Amino acid sequence: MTIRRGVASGVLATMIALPLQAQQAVQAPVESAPVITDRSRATLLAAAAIPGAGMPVVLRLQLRPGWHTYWRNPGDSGEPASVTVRVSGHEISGPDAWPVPERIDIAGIVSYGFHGEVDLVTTVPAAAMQRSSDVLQIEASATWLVCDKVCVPEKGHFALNVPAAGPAGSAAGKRDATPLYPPVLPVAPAMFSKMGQGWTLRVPAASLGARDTKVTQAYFFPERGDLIDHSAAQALHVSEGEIALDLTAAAPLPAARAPDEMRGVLAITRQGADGVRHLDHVRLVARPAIESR
Amino acid sequence: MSSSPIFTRRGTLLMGAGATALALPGVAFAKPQVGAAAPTFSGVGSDGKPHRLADYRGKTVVLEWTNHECPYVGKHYRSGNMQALQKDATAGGIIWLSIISSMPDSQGYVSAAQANDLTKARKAAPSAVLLDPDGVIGRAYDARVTPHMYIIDAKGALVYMGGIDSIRSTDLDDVPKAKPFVKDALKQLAAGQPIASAVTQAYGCTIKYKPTA
Repeated sequence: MTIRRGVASGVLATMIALPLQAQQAVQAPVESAPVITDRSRATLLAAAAIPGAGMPVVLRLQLRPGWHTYWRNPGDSGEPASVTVRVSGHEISGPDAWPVPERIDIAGIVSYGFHGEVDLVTTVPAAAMQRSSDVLQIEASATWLVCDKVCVPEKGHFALNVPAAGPAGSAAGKRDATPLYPPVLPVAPAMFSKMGQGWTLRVPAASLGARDTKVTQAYFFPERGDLIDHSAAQALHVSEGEIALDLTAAAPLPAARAPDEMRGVLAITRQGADGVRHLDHVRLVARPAIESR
Repeated sequence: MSSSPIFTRRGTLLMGAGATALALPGVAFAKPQVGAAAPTFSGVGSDGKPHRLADYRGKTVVLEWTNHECPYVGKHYRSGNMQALQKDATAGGIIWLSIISSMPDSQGYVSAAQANDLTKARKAAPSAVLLDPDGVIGRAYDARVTPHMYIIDAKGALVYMGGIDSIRSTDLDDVPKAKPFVKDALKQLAAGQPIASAVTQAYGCTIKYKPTA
């Protein structure tokens, strides 16, 4: 089956569209010595520090085939990676930017995570980067869980020296100027309403783009881990103007804990007229629907 | 990154699997719910004896899903937290059943003799260890991880389900820092108080269930 990843091509377009000045500011990142186990290889990466801008520090995990690690919401098992970056006497906890996850189903129990190579970003705020020399010393300690048939907690300590960048234009400080961040997903507004033991999530078709193709599958990855039953099926209903997904609540929620917002990633599969399937991701910010009575 | 598992056949297999599990005798149709009758079960212990939930009517019963090779289970045994909970509970007349739902040749699967050796080696104090390699009891309770914890009151109602405590980690140092959900629930139950956190998020390793399709 051929799957085209819409996001990847979108990113390419963004990179090309950047002003030349910003592209020049993108320097090859510096990579730390690796921490290697039988299951994974981990390094820390950072690009040149840009004065006045936040700096992404990346924990890069390269997992052996069969192994996976977890998303910010790990789903029904596992645990997200944890990173502490130390720069100029500041301590920053991360990661704060995660790539889109996969749904990992093991005999009916669903977790959210990644196979292969994954970059987990911790952003060092500009304010934490006062320095006297032209080299920034970065240290990080990290823990991450890898699972295949068994689960193994792993950890590492990393050190990096990053040269300060030369003067850069205003565009250089922007997130898009560094390839270390995961692709910025388009944001789609959505609504949710109570439905039985859960919610129906409605997303206007207009905010999903590509109206010439039919949405054949959709899955919502919520950022919060206590909202939905991750292992339950999410029934998809496609109509002219919107798609709707039925979500099962994790457990009967007392009214006081009813969410006033649901954030997460929506994975959509579309079938084009040519029969080719496309996988796209959007970031969803859903608010309660106003009930009409 | 490989293609999303959305494209795998697992989703469809799963639906078939659910139907199969529901058709098994003795397995409740609905998911277990706090306040409702706990799913009945009958299992074989590592002591070679049958253990039926109905046998323990009149007593509080704790169910602990376990897999001795899971690092989350390891945290609670290496710290002595699990053994302490077991001893406190059984000393107070509570029945504590450790349940192993790992399928054969998977992580955590043990023979009866190995289960007994583990209990001895770890100085664990459950009332019994139930061997559930087909996952029948685990699926009936919708247990998903190790450790996944349940408390059933003397009348047979499920009064607690979820995590053993509040910190999702494999770090032994987190045990004293965490909110001990199970310990608190047992205390509240014994005092005739309502259980403050009756449904919590379980954390741990996926139970290594036998595929049901």
